[in-house]
Amino acid sequence: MDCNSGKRKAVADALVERVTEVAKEFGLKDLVVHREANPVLVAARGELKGKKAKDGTQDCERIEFVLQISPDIARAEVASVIGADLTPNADLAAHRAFDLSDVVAQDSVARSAPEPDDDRC
Amino acid sequence: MPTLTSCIFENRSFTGAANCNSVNFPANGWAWVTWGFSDRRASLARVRQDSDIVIALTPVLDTAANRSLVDANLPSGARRITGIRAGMVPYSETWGGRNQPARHPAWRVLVDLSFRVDIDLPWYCFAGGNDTKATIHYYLFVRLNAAGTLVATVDHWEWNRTEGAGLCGGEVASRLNAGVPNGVGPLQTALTNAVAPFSSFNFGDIYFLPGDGRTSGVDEVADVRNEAAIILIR
Repeated sequence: MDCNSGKRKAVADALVERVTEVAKEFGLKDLVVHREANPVLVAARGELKGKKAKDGTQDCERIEFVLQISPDIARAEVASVIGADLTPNADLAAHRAFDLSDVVAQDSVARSAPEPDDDRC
Repeated sequence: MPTLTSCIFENRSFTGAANCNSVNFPANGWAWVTWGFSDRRASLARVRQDSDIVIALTPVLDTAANRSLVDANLPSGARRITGIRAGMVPYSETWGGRNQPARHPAWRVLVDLSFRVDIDLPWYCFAGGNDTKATIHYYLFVRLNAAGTLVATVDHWEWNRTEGAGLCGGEVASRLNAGVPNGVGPLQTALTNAVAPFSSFNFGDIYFLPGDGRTSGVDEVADVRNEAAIILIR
């Protein structure tokens, strides 16, 4: 879901800039921009102030919108359900650790038999 | 008197639910264990000596100090909704195992320290609710060095969002990716302090067991990733 590199970044930058301008132009004060995220997201809501109503009160129209910028909107939700990284410079030295490699290697039953079907519904 | 601990696991990868049964038996005698489960795929058995040292992980790690530590490093808008859980998992079943398989042997067992969080969602997410949930994992590599001294390090981290986030999957991911790594340093400091009392001892071997490592009776474990014990052999 990378909208922060290449041509997609250029498009995302332009869209965010222009949508932000529109939101500010119309006085939408509740403006949210997640430009660093993938997918990129811009949301705004507020009151569009118009002419005065017959009773003298300000005639306001409420508006809210969300713009999501993604290579594939259908997959955007699925693609952001996991995150991880390895600890840099982690000490991996070990003299003795719990390792089941030898146990598994000697498992003649498992190696000769196929994985059984999971019969749970 | 030695003890036979026999454990059966739900999955072939020594993950999922497990049942352990521990029985004492006389020297040159037999130990007798029967099981009535059909949904178990792997087993481990070990003869244990009275001199073995058992450290149940969750009581050691789910402390007020460690809860404060992880709470202080949660992503914005997130709050912990479970205690700290600590179990066992083969490296191959972690994110690191799937993405950098050369880092450790596939069947090397790490400690899976995890907890669940609730994450607030703002109005524009349209997620069908005002929040979502995720599980945060810190994988700990616990082993003995050449001198037989206990060593523990934070190996890597991982999060899994388990509920929908509407349009805010990216935002939530950004928050978690920014926040979860901040816990590595403080957690490493806490781990180093936790194993410090053992630094004057030398051990011959180390292994893990599901549950609390008890030496008699049955131990029913709902998920070995949430509950395990380290056994140190003098």
